[in-house]
Amino acid sequence: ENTWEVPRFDGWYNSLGNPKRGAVGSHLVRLVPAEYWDGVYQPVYEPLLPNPRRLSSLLTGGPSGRPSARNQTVLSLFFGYHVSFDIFDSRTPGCPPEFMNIPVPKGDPVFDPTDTGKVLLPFQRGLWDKESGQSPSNPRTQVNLVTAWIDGSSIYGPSSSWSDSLRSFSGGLLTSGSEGNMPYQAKEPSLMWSTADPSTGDHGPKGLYELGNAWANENMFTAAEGIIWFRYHNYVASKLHEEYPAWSDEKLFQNARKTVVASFQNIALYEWLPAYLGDKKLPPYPGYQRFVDPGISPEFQAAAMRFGITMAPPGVYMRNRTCHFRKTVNMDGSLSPAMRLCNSFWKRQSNNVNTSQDVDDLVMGMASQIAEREDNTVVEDLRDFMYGSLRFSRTDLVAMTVQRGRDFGLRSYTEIRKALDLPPVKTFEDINPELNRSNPQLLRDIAELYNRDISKLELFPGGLLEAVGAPGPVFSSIILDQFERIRNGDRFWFENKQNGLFTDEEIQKIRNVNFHDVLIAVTSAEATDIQNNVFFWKNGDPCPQPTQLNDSIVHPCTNATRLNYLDGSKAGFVIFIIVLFLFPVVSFLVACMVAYLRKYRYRKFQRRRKAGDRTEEPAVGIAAYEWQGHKKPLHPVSVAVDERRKLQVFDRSGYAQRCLNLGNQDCLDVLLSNDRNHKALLLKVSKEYDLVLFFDDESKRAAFVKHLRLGVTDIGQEIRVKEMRERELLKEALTREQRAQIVETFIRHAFSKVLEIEKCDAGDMSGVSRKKAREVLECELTASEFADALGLKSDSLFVDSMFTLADKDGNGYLSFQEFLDVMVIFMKGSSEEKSKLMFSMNDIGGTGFLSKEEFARMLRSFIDISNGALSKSQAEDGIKSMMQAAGFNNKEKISWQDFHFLLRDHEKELQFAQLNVKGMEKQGKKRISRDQRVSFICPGNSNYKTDGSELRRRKKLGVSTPNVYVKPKRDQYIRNPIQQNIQHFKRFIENYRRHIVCFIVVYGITAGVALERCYYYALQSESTGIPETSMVGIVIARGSAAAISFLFPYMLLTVCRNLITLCRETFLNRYIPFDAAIDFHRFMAMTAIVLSVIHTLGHLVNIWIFSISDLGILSCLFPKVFNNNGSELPMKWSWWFFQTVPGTTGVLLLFTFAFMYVFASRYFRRISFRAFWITHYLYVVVYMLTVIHGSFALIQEPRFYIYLIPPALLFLLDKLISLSRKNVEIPVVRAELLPSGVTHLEFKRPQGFVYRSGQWVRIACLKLGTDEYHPFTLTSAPHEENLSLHIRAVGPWTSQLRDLYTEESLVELGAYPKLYLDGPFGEGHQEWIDFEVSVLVGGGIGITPFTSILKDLVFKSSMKSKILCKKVYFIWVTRTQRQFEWVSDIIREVEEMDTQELVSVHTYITQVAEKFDLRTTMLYVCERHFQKVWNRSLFTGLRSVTHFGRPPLVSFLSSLQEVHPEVGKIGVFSCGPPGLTKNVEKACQQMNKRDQAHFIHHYENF
Amino acid sequence: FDDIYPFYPLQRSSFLFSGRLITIIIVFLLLAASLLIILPGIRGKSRLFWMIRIVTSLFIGAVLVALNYTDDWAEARMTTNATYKSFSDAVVNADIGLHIGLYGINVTLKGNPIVQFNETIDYNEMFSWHDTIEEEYEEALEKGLPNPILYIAEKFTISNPCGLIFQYRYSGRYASATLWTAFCCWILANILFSMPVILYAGYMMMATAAFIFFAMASFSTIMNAPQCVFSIGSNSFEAQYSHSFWLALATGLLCTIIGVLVTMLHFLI
Ligand SMILES: Cc1cc2nc3c(=O)[nH]c(=O)nc-3n(C[C@H](O)[C@H](O)[C@H](O)COP(=O)(O)OP(=O)(O)OC[C@H]3O[C@@H](n4cnc5c(N)ncnc54)[C@H](O)[C@@H]3O)c2cc1C
Ligand SMILES: NC(=O)C1=CN([C@@H]2O[C@H](COP(=O)(O)OP(=O)(O)OC[C@H]3O[C@@H](n4cnc5c(N)ncnc54)[C@H](OP(=O)(O)O)[C@@H]3O)[C@@H](O)[C@H]2O)C=CC1
Ligand code: HEM
Ligand code: HEM
Ligand SMILES: [Ca+2]
Ligand SMILES: [Ca+2]
Ligand code: NA
Ligand code: NA
Repeated sequence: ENTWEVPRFDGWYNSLGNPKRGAVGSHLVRLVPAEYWDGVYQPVYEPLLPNPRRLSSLLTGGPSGRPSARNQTVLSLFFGYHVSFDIFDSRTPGCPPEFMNIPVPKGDPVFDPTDTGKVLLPFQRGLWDKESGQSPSNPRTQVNLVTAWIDGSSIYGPSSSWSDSLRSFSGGLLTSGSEGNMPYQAKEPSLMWSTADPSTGDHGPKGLYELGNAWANENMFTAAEGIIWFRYHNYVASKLHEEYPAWSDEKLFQNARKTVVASFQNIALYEWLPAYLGDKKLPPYPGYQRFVDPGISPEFQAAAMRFGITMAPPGVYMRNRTCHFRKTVNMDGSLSPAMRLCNSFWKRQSNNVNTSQDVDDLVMGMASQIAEREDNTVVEDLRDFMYGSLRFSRTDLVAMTVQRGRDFGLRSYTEIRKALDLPPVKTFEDINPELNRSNPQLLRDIAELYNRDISKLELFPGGLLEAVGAPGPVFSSIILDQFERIRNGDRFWFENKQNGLFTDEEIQKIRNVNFHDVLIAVTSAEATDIQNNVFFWKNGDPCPQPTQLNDSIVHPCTNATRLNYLDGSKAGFVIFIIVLFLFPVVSFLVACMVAYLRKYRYRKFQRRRKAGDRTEEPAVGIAAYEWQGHKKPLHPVSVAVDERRKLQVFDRSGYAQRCLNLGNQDCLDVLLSNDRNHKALLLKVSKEYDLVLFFDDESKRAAFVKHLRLGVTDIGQEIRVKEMRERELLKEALTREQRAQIVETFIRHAFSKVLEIEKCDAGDMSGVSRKKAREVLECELTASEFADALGLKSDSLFVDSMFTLADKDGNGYLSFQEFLDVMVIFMKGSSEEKSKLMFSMNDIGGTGFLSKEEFARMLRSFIDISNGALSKSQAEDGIKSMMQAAGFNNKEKISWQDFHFLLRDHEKELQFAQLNVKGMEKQGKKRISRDQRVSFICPGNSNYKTDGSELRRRKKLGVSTPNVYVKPKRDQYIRNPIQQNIQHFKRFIENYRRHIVCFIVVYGITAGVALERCYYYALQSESTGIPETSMVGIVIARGSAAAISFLFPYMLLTVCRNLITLCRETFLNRYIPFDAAIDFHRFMAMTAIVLSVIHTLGHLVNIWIFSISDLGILSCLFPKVFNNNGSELPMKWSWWFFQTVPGTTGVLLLFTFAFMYVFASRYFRRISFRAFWITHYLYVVVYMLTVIHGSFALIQEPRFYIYLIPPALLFLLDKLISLSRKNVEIPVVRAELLPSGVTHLEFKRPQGFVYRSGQWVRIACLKLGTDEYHPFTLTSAPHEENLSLHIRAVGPWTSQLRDLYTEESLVELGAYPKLYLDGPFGEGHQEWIDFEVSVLVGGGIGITPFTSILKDLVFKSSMKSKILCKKVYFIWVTRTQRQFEWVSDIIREVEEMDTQELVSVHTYITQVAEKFDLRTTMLYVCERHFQKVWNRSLFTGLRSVTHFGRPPLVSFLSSLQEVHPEVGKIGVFSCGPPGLTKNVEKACQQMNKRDQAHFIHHYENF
Repeated sequence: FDDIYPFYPLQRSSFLFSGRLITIIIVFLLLAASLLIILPGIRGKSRLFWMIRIVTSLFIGAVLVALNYTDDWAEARMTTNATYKSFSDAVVNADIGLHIGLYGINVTLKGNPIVQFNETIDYNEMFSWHDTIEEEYEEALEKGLPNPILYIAEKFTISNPCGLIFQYRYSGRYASATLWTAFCCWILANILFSMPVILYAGYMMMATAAFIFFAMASFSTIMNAPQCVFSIGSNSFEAQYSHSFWLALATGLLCTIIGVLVTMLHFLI
């Protein structure tokens, strides 16, 4: 094995004292302190110093073709270059990229021929030591990327792996290319620096030679130097191999390397250096000096060593061994005597140098050619046509050099002179007396540039000016110093005998090797073909050059080219952005397709059903389908005209649906369709909605028309038939809905007339067009509409008699006036008038007497109103007893007097039984009377018959004072829109306090995390350089990404249904609006999606900028992804989008969102909930993609997953809870679609299901997915056999549920979909049992628990079970009664069972003025009216008292105290919207401040 | 001291059983012990069943965590004569090992015999590529680690022409991420096993297996990295899959089998 220490490739551990000295990555060693503008790192700029380009033109301009004063050859020049590359490389730009671009003076003939004044020569600052440049005592220091030692790093590379990549690992050789003595050429990205060829634009690593010197391919001539040393290594290694065949590859390689490096050291220092410096010589080798630092000095690197550029020739000759100077081929195929320098930069494919023979010829040419004069001039190849960047392919090397000096913070020429102990120069003229003599103008001009201040003159210009046939004293001493330190500090210097590398003889042998020997060894040249001292060409040496080359005899330099990186891909980029925006459109189209498909399937299904139906002909009449309006399904019916000239419409089961009286019309308008199979028929019916029928075919229709004719012609009625297109026909038709609208307006008008309410109070009429208004006035009500308005069955006796009475002209319809008249009497008339009305209503014959029969019938009709609340026998009994009581038993006829006498006792009440609407008094109208009460409560309404012990009357205010204060607070209807808005706003804030706080918290956090990132990228992360590159883009993108990272994960919490259900039972519910979780979900999702789009836009900007930034910049930004190899060309935009992890996943994410978003829109969710739910499951994809999205850590370490983990765990837990629930299928017994979107479900009570009233269960519907449970209160009482729920459709699930139980879908499904049941939960409002008096307050759907409770209560009391409870006040607050009609039924049921008057019900309707509701009012009017009329309540159907306005909670409670003075504790239970329960709570608190009964409040929010 | 570079004695971490691994093993052993203690309370045949269940499950869990920290997913070894250190021409005969984990590499150098030139030659150095391995390499240089270790570590630097680090870093990163995902699946599977939804537990087991296989696939992309010469002395080596990789494979197969069995049982019964 070796007996000597093998030197490392990276220069480490060479120096004994300091192992990093001279190593790769060590910093430069200054001869004099740095001079920066700010003392730390900022370069000195113009105008403190002259413009580098102006300086360059002035200083180095001049003709070429002047030979070296000492006949130095071009070979010497390029050998020097090679030596430089062995000891320094600080050209690689630093990170983050900093630019010191050089402004080109306006009108520069080369760079700014068009006189724009805007041209910049790009200049990027060099690599520096990160620890320096932060404070003045350690200003910026540059870093050397190769070893400072002359150790063959330009041959073997500056690291062991570099050398490994060059080695062939056999015979100690370096890998050669296709030709044995040429190095191999790179194929894929390598570490060889690869700038683009400025004359051809070739770029990329292909075709470059792989050598130890990263910059070897800069031009053919340096490459040739590299190739020579490559060959020399292989030459030596083969020699050794021959000599020592047993040696291993490693040993051969290291020994060859040792010899080659030693020879290189010898030639560089003892042959080339003296030649280069002229007469100056290094002192003899003093032996290894361990304290010497070989560190390259910036002065040497950035100035002195660059003296060589003045010697560069405009071109290089090639010759063969026989002195034949070969013509070289130019780019355009023409021939030149020499290879042009400026067209030989970064050649991948050269016309001239391809084979090893070409290299030989080139080397021989260089040995014969005399370099340019060592003076201040520089050839245009370097001054005006130096290679630049791809964007601008030429630059000025001299200007660059000057700028590099500023970048490095070099001190001025004079200061360095001083530091080098050279005699000072005082004036510009003193710098170079000889030059001053030959060209005084130049010095004067330079002086002018520096304001005649020599202390400002920079080192490089100063050094150039000094030159007289060799580097001047300053450059010489810097260079000498540098090489001396390199030699003396090098432990592995070949002359150092302590390192054991060489024996004395070997050292001597190496000392005798000169470059000539090397060239002879590695080229085809024989010893005599090249002069012995190859660095000079002296007279008599072989093969003189034909002539000193000047730029006029070689091919001209190609001009600068410009390249915009984005050229050609701009269109693609734009198209891509457009495609991104098309994602939602695509998704929308798909959604439409789904919607269409659903509709299509539904229609097909219907058609099938129809086909099935056709077989069974209806029992009576002609089969047809009634059209019910646009977008509504056809309803199968059968029609027939009966003997009374009524057109009867039956449904298929034979149940009469509609009855049209054809008799009272003069003529019948019949419209027939004349297209689409002639199936449609429209029968115009005045005062009603039109009958539109579809028949199976034309013949059926014809049959019907015939039938119709037969039915009516005998009374001379005429049938007018018109034909039109089906579309127009349907347009013509007045639909049921349109009619209903008209009727509603009609009624509202009527009421506003009667009540003299301002019209706008009765509902907005202003929006109604005049045509509509006329329609309304002309409108007449049918009996069924009238009944409907009263909320009664149209065939009820009461309605019938009422209608006949009101219908004065007897046309079968109520006109506006007729309707008004009745109303007026009802509401305003005296008691006499009222009883008269009542009387005549029932005096069917108009005889002025009521027969006994008629009277009984009257009573029966009243009972009717209560919708059969009393059984038939009960009713009969009641009537009998009543007649008895009135003493009518023995009278055959009852006159009005008798009748009135019957009612007389209660005249007063009758009189007060008026419909009074508040508002008038407050509006300042004069007619203020105590009649005009807000409330409908009539004095003594609380049934004077029940003057039992339960209710103690307060007599203070006379009869009319209610014992329980129930007058509603009805504020004045505010007309001022601003005040209205303020009112709304206040109400909103009140109800949504928790929402608002939570909203602020969530969005505050979102904004916080976003701003933190924005701040970081805007201000704190300068060292990455990303913000400098793309400030706006990155700040936006990262800020929004942070917000997204918070929103998406934490959105999961809003859908943790089980956890939410659990939490809302706890105190947390007081602070967090758990019920609004889904709303929050939507908000957060929308925000996140919007932010995603913003994020994407930000990155579009970034990627735009990245794809126009140099690779050098990118490699700074993304050191883990890019390696700067000078090739400049950045990645295309498409690479970013389609070949990076964030790009691809980002695009996929956008695509996913497009689908989720469109399908989640309200519209499509309604159309196809399934499609929504399926696409919504893409959320799994979203989370996975987003985790992957950040995983590449392109810009920063991923954070999304950190945000995701906590909520994801909770979400998983939630899902596990869902999974772990054991499910039992429960069949639904009955499903009823009640008005106002309420679905009533009745289902089997599972075995062993025990619950208390007021408890709730959670149900899932098998058809709607098995893991989505929703809570609903049981409305059945515990004693009932089945369980029942009332479910209001408010959101997606409940709406879907309702849809499931529609008739249509029932037919489709065949049976009621089953349920899963979970529960019961909740305490149930069971405590009412513990209170003697309880108040139950239900708001909106919040009534549900109370229905169960009330039923239960009444049941228990009727069972005579012992309950403490003496009285229950039930207060139901609702917007309009219409909203919860079904509740009336339940209350009625309760009241009916409530034989002990345990329950007192008060209904508060809060929106009467805003939305007038005839039904409620009418019912009320009638009820009140008749309640007063009879001393026994025949109308227990609804005993509850209705008020208009919000409940006066405080007064109510306080009056309770008086009513029940003996009760110490009163229970208050409320359930409903938060605002309501909060008000109840407040009222209780207020009451509890007084020292009376204690109100204990329990509540539940919906 | 002034002019001689001090040669720092190194703290040597014992190979394979790094502190982290020991912690993991102890934690899982403790878990196993505490769970096995309750076994006597279970009667009859199900005792054996439970024991097998607990042991397999904990084994899988332990493996999933441990694999993140082992450094023998792939290994390369050679015995060669190599220059040993700077300032010396000593050449030692040593076993050199390169152990590749998911977070970085371990390089071992063990003399043959261990003591040569009165020096103990037994090194195990860790280089993690979490941030920039460049800095770790620089530190190693400053520390003055033996040449072969530096040589191998240098191959993993960014400026290296092989460009290994790019592939290794991302392969390891994604392998580790998928392993952690597999671990989460394992936890879920265990929870599901204790709920009446055995089928889902079976699925989860299969998901665990899938993620283990993904991790292996991700790791195996290092073999696509450009072949890089590791040549010390006159020998060279190439990395081969090693224990951790095969252990992952075995665990993956085990999970698959459990998953498939459970699913089949569900559908058959
Ligand atoms: C204890 C309790 C008893 C209830 N009793 C009845 C009842 O008897 N009749 C009735 O019609 N409604 C009742 N609700 C309300 C009913 O649960 C919701 O209206 C229903 O869940 C809405 O579902 P959705 O998807 O259709 O509407 P969404 O649009 O999703 O939600 C509408 C509102 O209901 C809330 N909500 C949605 N899902 C749930 C859920 N799983 N748990 C709790 N709140 C939810 C939302 O936060 C939102 O405020 C009750 C709620 C609770 C908490
Ligand atoms: N459909 C809608 O427009 C709204 C729906 N909702 C949601 O719908 C669900 C149930 O709604 P719904 O059952 O219809 O309930 P409502 O919102 O219709 O309220 C029921 C009744 O309670 C009254 N009320 C509300 N706040 C107070 C208060 N602070 N003091 C006294 N009375 C009050 C209302 O009177 P008034 O009419 O005077 O307000 C109304 O008559 C709730 O979850 C709620 O979040 C909530 C608000 C609006
Ligand atoms: C466009 C905006 C979105 C809207 C309007 C929306 C709406 C909804 C609605 C209404 C539900 C509840 C469905 C129901 O209970 O009937 C829901 C559930 C859910 N959404 Fe969204 N969503 C949106 C976006 C997102 C996004 C972007 C994600 C995740 C990345 C997401 C994740 C979820 C999850 C996890 C559930 C619960 C699923 C379950 O319980 O199994 N949503 N969404
Ligand atoms: C084509 C469009 C997109 C591009 C080009 C893009 C690009 C990026 C990039 C480069 C990063 C930095 C990743 C890193 O540091 O390694 C990032 C992060 C992020 N992006 Fe996007 N993105 C796009 C779309 C989206 C979308 C649609 C979302 C919505 C979910 C999103 C959410 C995020 C998040 C949350 C992060 C932070 C990841 C983390 O910290 O773990 N991006 N994006
Ligand atoms: Ca010159
Ligand atoms: Ca000192
Ligand atoms: Na060097
Ligand atoms: Na030769």
